[in-house]
Amino acid sequence: MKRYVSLIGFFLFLCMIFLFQICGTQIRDFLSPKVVCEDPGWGIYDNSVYMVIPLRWMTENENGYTVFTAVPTDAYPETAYAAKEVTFKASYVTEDFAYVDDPSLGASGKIIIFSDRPLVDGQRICIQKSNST
Amino acid sequence: MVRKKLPDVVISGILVLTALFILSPVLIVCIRSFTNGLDAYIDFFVWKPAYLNAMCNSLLIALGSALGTIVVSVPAAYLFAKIPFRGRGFLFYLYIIVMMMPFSVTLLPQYIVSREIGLYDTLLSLILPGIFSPFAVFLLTQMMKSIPDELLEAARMETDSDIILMRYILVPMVRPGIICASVLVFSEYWNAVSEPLVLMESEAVYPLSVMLNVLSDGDILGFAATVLFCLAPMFLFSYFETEIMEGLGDYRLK
Repeated sequence: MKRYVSLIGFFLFLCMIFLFQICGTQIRDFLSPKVVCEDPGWGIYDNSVYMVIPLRWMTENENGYTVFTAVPTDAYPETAYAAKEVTFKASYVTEDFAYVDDPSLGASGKIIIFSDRPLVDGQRICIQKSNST
Repeated sequence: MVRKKLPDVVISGILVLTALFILSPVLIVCIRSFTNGLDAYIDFFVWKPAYLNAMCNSLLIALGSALGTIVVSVPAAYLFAKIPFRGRGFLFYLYIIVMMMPFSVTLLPQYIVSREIGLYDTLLSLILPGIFSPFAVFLLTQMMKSIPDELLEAARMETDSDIILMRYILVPMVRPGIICASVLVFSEYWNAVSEPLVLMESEAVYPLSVMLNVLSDGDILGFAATVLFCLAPMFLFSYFETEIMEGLGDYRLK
């Protein structure tokens, strides 16, 4: 009995290890939040060029506005992206848009405009659709 | 004078306490690994592929060495035990000398050779030395020497082929020794830390024994990785317990 349990246990252990190693990318894609990304637009306001971001893409808090951006990460063997939380202050805010002059936002990558579940800073994400300008 | 014997309960209690004391590090690791439920195990299998890759490397190195050692050491042991040739004794003593050397003595030559032949920073730099392990040859040679030559001479009336004699007469008789040698080689290369650090450079080929050193103190992932790291040799030892005891203990022909 002990030999059978040991043999089955070892076999299952090997199968699990190699299954997750071979199918790891697909499993991570399945478990990761599915997001849609967009590039922010650019516009001129008061004779200066600003990044234009719709307010519906952002959440407001006491420190300013917060968005999640998709940044490449090398923590995984496949090409993968992680969610990075960026807080910034808007130079001008209209009814629908915020005009931003923050260089850290421009370097952060595409802005996540939709996610099927709440995001955590640093979490791996699966980009479903991304528009590049 | 009649010596008073401790009650069995007291003796059992002392033994249980001693066993718990010895097992306490293992129990602590197991309990701590479940601090956040199964999150640490999910991290290991899904979100930290570097450690899963290291586990695969450990399995490939240890299984490759263990299985390869069977292929190499059985014919070598048959040669030393049953086929007389000039220089056999001297060659066998060379094997013993290499086996007795501390691994740090042979590590630098291994490094130089692996660099020269282009195996540095590959899994083969560990697998190949494991396949040609002198301990397995030594163990199997002693076992085969205990088998009477008359048995082989009787078998030679049926066939003159050494390969058939080895395969159908000797191998079944020294099966416990073969299993014991391969399991011990598996264990040696499963737990190897110094050799991978010297013979390998990139994290992609490191085994899990090395990657466990990278994890910081108190990291729950480290506890989960340690529990998983203990499973493979535990299963093997559990399955082959009888053969290992036979291989290391009484190997006289019965």
